[in-house]
Amino acid sequence: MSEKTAIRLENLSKTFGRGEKAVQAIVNLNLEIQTGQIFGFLGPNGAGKTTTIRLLVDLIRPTKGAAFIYGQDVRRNPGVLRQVGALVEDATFYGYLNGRDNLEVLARTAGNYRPKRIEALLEQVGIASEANRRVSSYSTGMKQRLGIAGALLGDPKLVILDEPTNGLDPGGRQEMRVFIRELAKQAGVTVFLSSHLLHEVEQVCDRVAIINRGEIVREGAVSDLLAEGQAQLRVQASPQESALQVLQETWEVSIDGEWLIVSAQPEEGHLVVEHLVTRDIRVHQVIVRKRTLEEYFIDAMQEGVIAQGIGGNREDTHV
Amino acid sequence: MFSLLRAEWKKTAKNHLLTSFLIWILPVGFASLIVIFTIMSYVSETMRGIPSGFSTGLWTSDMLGIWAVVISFPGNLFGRMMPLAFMAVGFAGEYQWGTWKNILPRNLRPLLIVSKLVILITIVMLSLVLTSLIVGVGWSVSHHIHDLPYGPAWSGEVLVDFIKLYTQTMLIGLFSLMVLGGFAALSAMVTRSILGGLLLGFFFSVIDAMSLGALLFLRNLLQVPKLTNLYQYTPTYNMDNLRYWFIHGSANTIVVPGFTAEPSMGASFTILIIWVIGLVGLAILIFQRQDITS
Repeated sequence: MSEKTAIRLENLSKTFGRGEKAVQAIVNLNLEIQTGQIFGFLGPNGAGKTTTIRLLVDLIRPTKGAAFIYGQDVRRNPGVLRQVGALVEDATFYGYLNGRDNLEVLARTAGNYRPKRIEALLEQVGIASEANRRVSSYSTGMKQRLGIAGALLGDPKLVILDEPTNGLDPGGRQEMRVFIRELAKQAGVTVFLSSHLLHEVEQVCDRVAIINRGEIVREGAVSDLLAEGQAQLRVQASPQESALQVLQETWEVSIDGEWLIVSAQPEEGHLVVEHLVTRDIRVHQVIVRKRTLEEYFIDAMQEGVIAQGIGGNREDTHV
Repeated sequence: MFSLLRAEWKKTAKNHLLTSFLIWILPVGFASLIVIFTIMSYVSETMRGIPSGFSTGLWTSDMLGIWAVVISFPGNLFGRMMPLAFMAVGFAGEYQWGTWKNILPRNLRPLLIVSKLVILITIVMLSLVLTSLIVGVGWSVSHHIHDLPYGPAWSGEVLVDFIKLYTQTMLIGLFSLMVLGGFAALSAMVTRSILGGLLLGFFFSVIDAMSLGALLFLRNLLQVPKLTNLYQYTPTYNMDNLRYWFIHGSANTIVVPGFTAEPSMGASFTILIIWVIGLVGLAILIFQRQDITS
């Protein structure tokens, strides 16, 4: 296996419980993530994202299959996890210790205690001024930041983050997205980012896999996935009925309030305008609406089950 | 390993709520009692005899007596509860606080258990040593204030004998705490909760302390005369037996129907070591195979 492969999952399966009460959390997961990528792992709540991460970092044992990190089976060579920093589910710490002491405990446990590194990370994640406060008084967002600092203590080559922006306000989420991107760009770290926030994944990740009911239903480069299928042009023109008739001659058109939704590629925008203008129809606005990951995700989910608990933002671009 | 010990020390010693109520309460409590009794006996004629009533009148016995709370029956029945609770919370708290999941990789787990055990035992030992020092010095001052005799008089021979006996007592105390630590670790691994760990740990400890009574009951019920001989394999008996060997130079031949064993000092050490290795080993085995799902 190439050193370029940071993560490889091979027929990974996990069943909790036995007999009639058995729950198949993960079913034959196969996945390969290259070094240097920011890989998004998407799925609705309960899809198996956290279970996959726990398997990946050997917190739980697979029922079948194996997880490899840099070519090493994490079960047989757990030492490879020294190259991994992880934030698994919500960040949990000793509430009676302050933030700095918690990082010290984590670092000493892993055998890589460097006070300067701790101070730098506290600064980087933006909680240096709160580092002497007991963690029990931290907000969820502050704990998440501390969790990310904890994951980076050992200068890992691979960082696994499970819903890292949970509990962060919009500003904090934006900061975290920038932080993750810089981590990959500047430090060359591979990031495995699990999230149910589609907008976040769309903005940050190079590649994405969508998991549902323990199975991967789609995988690919974000740009490729978004390019799949028909784009839309939203047109505001008057009189609307005439515009509808004209456009229907060439494209599939539907009405959404004041807007006409034209199933056309973005590069056809000028043709749409031309068609309308040559028939004396006034064009007020034309918007190219990119397909969002949210729409892609919902399509993917609808092939199986209806998505639950999904958040995300549409992104419109004016032309 | 040293780094792990430092980490364990930090997270245990800085848990002030836990250490205050279950560990430091012992030296602080004894110091307070001695001060209160001394003041009371100083201000009231009728209470003048209090220091001699609560103390053995010998600093050697007073100081050694503190260890009875963990090493010998019946003191250990309740005396072991606080150290056991302390250690059970130390282990089970990691489940309740969800902090085990921060530990990667899995092959660190055996070292984690061992280092936690070392630190928890060290803290309890420190507390017991500190308490016995406070008791020795405190009663000495108290007796001196009231002009009461408090022996034995200091001499090289007394000191050497005392240090020897104190070290031997500490060694038994160490074994007792290692067994308790094993109970606590095992209970925590099995129940994965502080309350469950406490209850199961207490259950193990009480069963050990009360094993002679249980064996006698079973002996009579099942009419198996030699059943009480099984008592020689319990931690409680072997700690008592070691104490007997250290003090009297012979085995602890308890007068109980059917009990005929007279284990040597070496046999008792071996049995205690087997208990410690067995309990800690089992806890490590369970932990090593365990899925951390919370």
